[in-house]
Amino acid sequence: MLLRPRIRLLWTALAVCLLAPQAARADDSLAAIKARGKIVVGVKADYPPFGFLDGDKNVGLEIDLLHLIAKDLLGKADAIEFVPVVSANRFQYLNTNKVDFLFSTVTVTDQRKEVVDFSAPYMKSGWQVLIKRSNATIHDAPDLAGKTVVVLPGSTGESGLERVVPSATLLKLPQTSEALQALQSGRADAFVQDSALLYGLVQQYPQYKVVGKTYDDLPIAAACRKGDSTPCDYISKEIAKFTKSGVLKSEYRKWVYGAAERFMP
Amino acid sequence: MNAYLHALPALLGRGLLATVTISVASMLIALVGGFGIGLLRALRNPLVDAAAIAYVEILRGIPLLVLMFFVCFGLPQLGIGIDAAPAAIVALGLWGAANGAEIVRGALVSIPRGQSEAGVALGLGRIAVLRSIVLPQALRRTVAPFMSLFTAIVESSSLAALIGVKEILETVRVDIENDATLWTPLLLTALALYFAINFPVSLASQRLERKLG
Amino acid sequence: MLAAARLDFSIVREAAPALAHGALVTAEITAAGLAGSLLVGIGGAALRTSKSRAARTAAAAFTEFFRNTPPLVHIFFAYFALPAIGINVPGIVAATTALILYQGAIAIEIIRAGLEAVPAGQLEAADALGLGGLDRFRSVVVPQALRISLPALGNNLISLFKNTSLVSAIGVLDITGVAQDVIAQRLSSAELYLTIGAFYLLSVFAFSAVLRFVESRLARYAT
Repeated sequence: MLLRPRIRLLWTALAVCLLAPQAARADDSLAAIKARGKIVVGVKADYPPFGFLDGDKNVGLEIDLLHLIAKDLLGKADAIEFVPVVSANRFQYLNTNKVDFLFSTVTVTDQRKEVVDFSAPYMKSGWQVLIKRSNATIHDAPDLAGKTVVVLPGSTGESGLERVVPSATLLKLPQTSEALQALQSGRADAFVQDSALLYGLVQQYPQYKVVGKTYDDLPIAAACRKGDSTPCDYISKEIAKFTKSGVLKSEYRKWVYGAAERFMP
Repeated sequence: MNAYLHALPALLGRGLLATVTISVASMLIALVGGFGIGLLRALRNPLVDAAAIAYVEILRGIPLLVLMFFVCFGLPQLGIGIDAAPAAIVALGLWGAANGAEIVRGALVSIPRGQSEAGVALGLGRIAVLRSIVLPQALRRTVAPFMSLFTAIVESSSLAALIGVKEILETVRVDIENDATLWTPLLLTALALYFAINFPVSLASQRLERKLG
Repeated sequence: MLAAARLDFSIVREAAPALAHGALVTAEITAAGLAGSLLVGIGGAALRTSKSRAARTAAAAFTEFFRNTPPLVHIFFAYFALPAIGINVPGIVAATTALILYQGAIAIEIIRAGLEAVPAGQLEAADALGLGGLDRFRSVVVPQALRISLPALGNNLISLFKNTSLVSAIGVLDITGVAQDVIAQRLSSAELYLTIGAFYLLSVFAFSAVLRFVESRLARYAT
């Protein structure tokens, strides 16, 4: 009796597969973007100053770069649809074709290289520890042993902390605002995430401070579906162009002021 | 206070609109699907019956959240690509249709057998009996339950936030923008919005049920 | 297209221990939720049918508010908004409490309808036997109301069981939370959703079977 519904589901799925037009699992997303006349890209909406919201508008260093890329590729800087993603769901969004590529502070790791294709890096960051300014007991990651630390699922902070301080209790919340709330209310003793994000957060929220050394300083790049790297190849060329012309440097100075060297690749 | 007023327009505008759109679209699917399945079952074909029962049991036996995740992120893995908002509507619609089918079945079953038997005695065929005797009476009995189903769909639309659809709840989460003091006022406003939509419908549904006894 | 259907259940095998632990958490939340919502339901129903107008109104307000608003938003409120007034509890406590209040509000309506459905003859018989108000309520009315409400209460339990999946939204590691955690690190998800879907489905079938059994047993004592 239980077998029947399963078979029914399978038949329905197969039927829809065969009858439905080929879902855009194109091997050349760049051509698809050009044909569509619009870039659909996954970005961060809660990661100042790289990708965040100003009212309704997406702003930040990554957003500026995307506007420049759109101008070069499609002739219009505004031909972009920004799809907000978080670390917990961004790869799912990429692999279910909801976005053409990701430009959302994706750290390049060997493990990820096995499942996505990356462009040349436009940024770099390690991870550090964020605590309340009033906290005088935590000075670096090892001090988090046995404590409750909030992390974002799917982030390098999560996997990094699991590796460096396995005895820490991890509280996993998908959005930065929720993680900060956990820190604020004392549910978590610390928040571990990219230095670049923490840098942006303490600018806005002086009640927190960043402590300890930077772990896993790694490049950050755009991510494409495996085997479909045409958008990322184009982005790599653009990054090289921006680097050469000094545009990348001025973008960093605009958004990150004096800390540009820490986060520029 | 400033930050709250700044965040309010998006909540009352885009967020509310998305919630209402998703709810209405899913409700339409639930009505069509529910009546379709319910009436098909009335034909008493054992094969159709089994398929209908399987559908209803499965859709009502799994959490709507899991269904939504599966439609949005699992189906593409099996080759069926779909965006987040349509995925929410499909999942809610399928779930709503399963519940709708039960409502229709309950209404049809509640019409005394004597009615159909009288129709048959008068020489009417099975479908004619259904159409002119049973259905009109059963229809009236589905109105209140379907109104309740609508309130359930409106509540369940909040799950779409978890697949990234910018309805009321997700708009709250995004508008917080790392300012933790906004949680209370924005969530209270969200609760008020849902209540404002559902309470009138719920009241009307309760009054209707009392009238029909 | 058929090649696109890549299902690799080794991911599920690897995650099996974590999933089992998650299932345990789901069971715990369901059990606590059942107990809590029944208490809220009985207490609230008593208030709803009390002679005091204030009690009736308060209970009605509580019921209508919780029934008409989404449990997911209650969970978010309990976890993210309450700390502002100093109520700072772990995720599982906040989420379970929110569910107890939501399903409890639904239970209030169910039990109230059950209370009103207890035949007047029963109340009179209890009076004739000399049972006072609270005694009569406790030993005659409530058991019969519960028997009458059992099918609806059973549905409420199943609804509660499925709603436990919502606790994953605030990071609680029930079986849905565990699945999401695994998926955040990997890319495939269909296998995990199918697996936890099967878990819920089979559990609901089991619940329903037990409920039907209990209903048939109790039917023997129907007046």
